[in-house]
Order: sequence, then structure tokens, then C-alpha cells
Amino acid sequence: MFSRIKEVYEYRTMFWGMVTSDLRTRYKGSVLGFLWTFLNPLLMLVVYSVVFSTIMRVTIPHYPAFMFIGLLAWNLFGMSVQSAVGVVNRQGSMVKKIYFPREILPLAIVVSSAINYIFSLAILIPFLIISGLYPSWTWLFVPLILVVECIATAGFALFFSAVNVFLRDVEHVLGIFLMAWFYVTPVVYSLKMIPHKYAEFFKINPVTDFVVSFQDALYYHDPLRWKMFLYGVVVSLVVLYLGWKVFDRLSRRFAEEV
Amino acid sequence: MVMSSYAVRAQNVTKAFRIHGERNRTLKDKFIYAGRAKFKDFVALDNVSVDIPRGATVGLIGVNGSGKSTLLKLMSRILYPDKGTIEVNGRVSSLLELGAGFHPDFTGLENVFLNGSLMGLSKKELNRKLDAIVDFSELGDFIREPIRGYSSGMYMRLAFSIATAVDPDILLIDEILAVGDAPFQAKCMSRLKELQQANKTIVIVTHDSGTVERFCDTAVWLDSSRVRSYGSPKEVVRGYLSETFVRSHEGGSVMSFDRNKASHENAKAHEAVSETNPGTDCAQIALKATSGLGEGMVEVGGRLSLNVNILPMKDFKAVTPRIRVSSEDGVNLLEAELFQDENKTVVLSEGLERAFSVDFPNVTLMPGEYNVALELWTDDGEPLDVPEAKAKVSVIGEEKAHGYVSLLRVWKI
Repeated sequence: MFSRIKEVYEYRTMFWGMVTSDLRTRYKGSVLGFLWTFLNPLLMLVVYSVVFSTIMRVTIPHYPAFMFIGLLAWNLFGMSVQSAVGVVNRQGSMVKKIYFPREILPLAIVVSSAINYIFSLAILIPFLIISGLYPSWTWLFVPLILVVECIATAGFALFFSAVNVFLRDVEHVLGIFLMAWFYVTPVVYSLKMIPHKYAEFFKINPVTDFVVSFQDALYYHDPLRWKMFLYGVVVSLVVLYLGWKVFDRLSRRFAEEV
Repeated sequence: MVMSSYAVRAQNVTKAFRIHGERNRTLKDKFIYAGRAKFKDFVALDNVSVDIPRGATVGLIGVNGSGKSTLLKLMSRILYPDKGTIEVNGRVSSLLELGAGFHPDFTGLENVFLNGSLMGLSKKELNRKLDAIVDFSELGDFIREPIRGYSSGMYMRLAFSIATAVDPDILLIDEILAVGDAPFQAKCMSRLKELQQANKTIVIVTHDSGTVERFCDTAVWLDSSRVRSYGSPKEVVRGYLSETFVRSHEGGSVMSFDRNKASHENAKAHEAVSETNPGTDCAQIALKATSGLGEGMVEVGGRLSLNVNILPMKDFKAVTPRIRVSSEDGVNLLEAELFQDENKTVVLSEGLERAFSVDFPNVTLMPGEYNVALELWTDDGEPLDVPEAKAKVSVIGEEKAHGYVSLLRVWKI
């Protein structure tokens, strides 16, 4: 795997090219263009806070802020995987005709999603302050959590994008799968609301770790729960390793199958 | 790392493709047709071993579907072998397909960076090489236009300019130079020669045997997924040309899905041919080729005599002997018959031996081995049930040119 990482590094110019073109083309052709990077989370925020604080009446204080923190963390994961799953097929003409480390395709999507997350902080941070959640030293954990979440996301993105080349149903099933996954992740509810006997079960889900860690740092102003976070780090590394291994194995036949 | 003296080393490489009758891509199909394989394996390369030394220029030849492009794709690491290993030492730049690694919406300039980055170059390196690339491509103002409007020749200009400017150790080219105009092709060739002199390794797939003979120092002939011959371009090309022409004349399938079946069918076709010519000898023919040098030998420009003896087993009213001269690799060089040349026929009577001769006062053939055959035909174009007589002739002499015919030439410069 290290030789693969080295090769991806050698192709860094292409990697950045893919990342920037992904960011640029995401809203290409729309009137507001790059503004959507900020508008999207803002509108999401409006919809979810109307639904959950006005209609559903969740009792968590500053609920829109709470939910928005989790939602952005989830979106980094969910959107990356959803967009990465079909990327090898979408770039089929390139895969068929030219050599480059194929890992670049899903990995570039994860990196561009991470950059997108950073952009959306420009909406999140002012919103937190307006809601009365002032900056705290615990906010400094955010970059660390972000990196670990990206590692896990990369692992899943590699795995699903490779499998999808051979079994295209994955792309369609994944939409439903991610929706279910979203609801077993404490984004719209808090970890405390989960019945005690199921709590441990919910903690197996690595995305829970990231979402909860973001909530701890940004919302509760708590330092990281080290035991839980360490579990997240280990799981992320294992997922990345396995995902990359599967990808490496399957990528040999990409040019024939896309 | 110890640098290998080989640029590319393929050892026992086998590559098969799955030909899906109908693709079972969905889960439903996978379940329904589980166990019932709906694909066939097509062996594109079968136990192929090729060593390409550093600095060599190698031409890959072979009919369509013989595995040339697959081998090239394996070298460029787009495909992986099923069995065997392929080792590539050095930076590879490949020109496999027109428009590969280009984005149609980007301008020519942007595509230089895109394509260059796909070859693993940094922005800095590309900036340094940009002028050279643009100059070489001669695209002028078009370089600032989106390349979707480019002609295939313009695509090729840009692709070739980038691929050769990135300073590759190994350059792989798959038959795309043909779309350029003549001046640009010439420019490409001289660029390739520069790379050759700079001890770069070049592997080129082409159907232009002239290019292989003139430009390559080694040729590899791929035939039905295997390496048929490897060596000096002149010999390999000759073998390739004659064999493929013979095959297409026989009407056997040059391309076939099942390699074994194809050769089987070819063999069957051969049997069938000989069955229609059973040896019910109604005449015996002897053929002898002689010249001043002796039997079966003549020098370039010399006189050759074919002496024919026929012993008929029954009467023939009007027979015209037909002479066929072919090169050793099966190319027909001459077919002549008495009736057409002289408007004469021969009368043969049972048991009465008949002798005549045909003289070639000036044998303008290139040095090499040739076959001469004599058949008997009726004057209205029906072959007689007589086994043809054959003789071998070696043409010897000092002639440095290639080809079959030693045309006299006078250079005036």
C-alpha cells in the first residue's frame, strides 16, 4: 500500500487537477455558481431547523446548531461515498485509454468534499456564534477529527467505487443504504436519546464517532472522548487499508470492465 | 535500485478478455444466471515473452486482433496480465488512442497541462516545456480554442507534441500517426529519430511495413495471440506479409474468435484442397531450372532456362503450359502461359514424351529463394488433372535494396 501512496504522490499534479475540477464542475452551469457551496448548507440548515424545531419540537437547546454540526459531518462522509461510487465508470474513457493510479479518482472526491466542508465552516461558525455558542479551545480538535473522518471516508469510497465497476447495482442500493445509515447516526438526535441498551450497538458505527466528536468539540465544548476517538482512528485505518486493498486488487480489470 | 538493461520485459504473459454475450451486470441477472457462464474467454495474448532492450526501437506487426494493442496496453499498465509478469523500467509516455487524456471542453493549452499531469509531470515542468510543445504542434491560434472543435489531425498533433516533449524513457505508439498530414508525419518521424538517438526506447504498432523496415531495429510479429517471429525487421516483415496474403487468398479467417478452431479449420481447408486434386496421374512432368551457374541457381540479371519434360498417359488435344514464379514466402511474381504469350498450344499423345523449354534471358529478381511451378491447362481455361511440377531457384548476387524485383535504377542528383 505504501508504494501505491508513493505513486499517488508522484501524480500529485493530476490529483490536484482532479480535486479542483471536481470543485469547479460541481456547480458548473448554474447561475449562482460557486455561491452554491455556501448556499447549499445554508438552505439545508433552514429546512432541517424548520422541520425539527418547529414541527417535531426537539428539546435539545440550540437544536439547529446542534443538528447542523452533525449534518455537515455526515455530508462529508455521505456525499463523498455517494459521489465516489460511480466515479470509475464516469471516467471510463480515461481509465480505458491512459495509465494513472486509479486511486486518484475516488480519493480526489474525498479531498474535494473535505475542502467543501472547510468552505461550509464559513456558514457554520457565524451561525454558532449567532446561536450563542462561542468559540472555545475545544474547537481546535476540528482539524484532527476532519482528518480521521477523511481517512475512513477514503476507505469506504475506495471500496464502493471498485466494487461498483463489477456490480453496478451497488450505486443504486447505496442511496438507500446511506439513508438508513444516516438515521442510525446521531445527527438529528443526540447520543443521549438512544435507549441505553442499544447505545453500544450505535457506537460500532464509525461515523457516529466523527459526528459525536464534532458535536463534543463545537457544541458541548467538551474535549474528545479519547477511548471513543481512538476506536474511530483504529477503525478508520483498518477501513482505509481494507478498502485500498480491495481497490488495488479490482482495479487491475477496470480498463476491461468500464 | 539496480537498473535493468531491459526497458520492457514481458515473461510468459497471458491475457484473456471476457466476451459477454449479454452482460449480467445487475444483481438479478447474477442470481438468475449464477453458475451459467454467459461469457467466453478470448485469449488476446497467449504465453507471450518479449524482451525489449533499453534504447531499442521495436515494431509490432500482425493482423487486426492478433494482440498488438493488448500488448501495448499491458506495457502502459492500463491492463494487467492474467498470468506472467511484465516489467517496465522507466517513465512511459503513450500515444494509444486519439484524444486519450484530453478534455474536450478545455482549450489546447489547458489540455497540455491536463495531459501532462496524466503522465505524472508537475506544473513547473510543464510550464518549462509549454513553448516547445505549442511550437511543435504548429496549432497556432487554435491552441487557445476548446479542442472539441479540433480535427483528428490536430488532436494527433497536440497529443504527439506532448507525448514526446515530456522526455519519456519509453514511448509507446499505437498507429495514430497515420492521421497526420505528410509534412507533419515527416516531422514526427524526425522527432522519433531524435529520441532514438537519445537512446530512448520506442515501441510502435503499425501496419506500415515500410516504417518498420526503415525505422525499427527489431520487429515482433504477433500472430493469433502468440509471438510468431522476432528479429530483424526485414525478415520478420517478409514472413508476415507473405503469410497473411496467402491466408486471405485462401479465404481462411485471418481473425477468429477461437484460435485453435481457426487453425483447425485452416488445416481442414488444406485437406479439402488436396482432395479435389487426387493423384490420378494422366501425365508425368519433370521441371529443371538451369543457368550458367548450374542447376537451380542463377545470378541477378542472368539467364535462366526451364526445361520441361512431359510424359502423357493419355491424349490431350490442346494443352497450354502455365508457369508460376513465386517468392519463397508465397508472393506470386509471375504467372504466364503459352497460349496467352504465343497463341499456341501443345498436342500431347499417350506415351509420347514431349520436351520444351522456357528461357528467361534477364532474371531481374532480388537475391533469394524462389519457387517455379508448371501446370497444364486446356486452352479454354480448365486445369488438367495433372500434379504440378516444381523447382527451386536461388538467385544470387550483389543487390542491397529490398523487395522482390531488382529494377535497374539510375540516380540523378
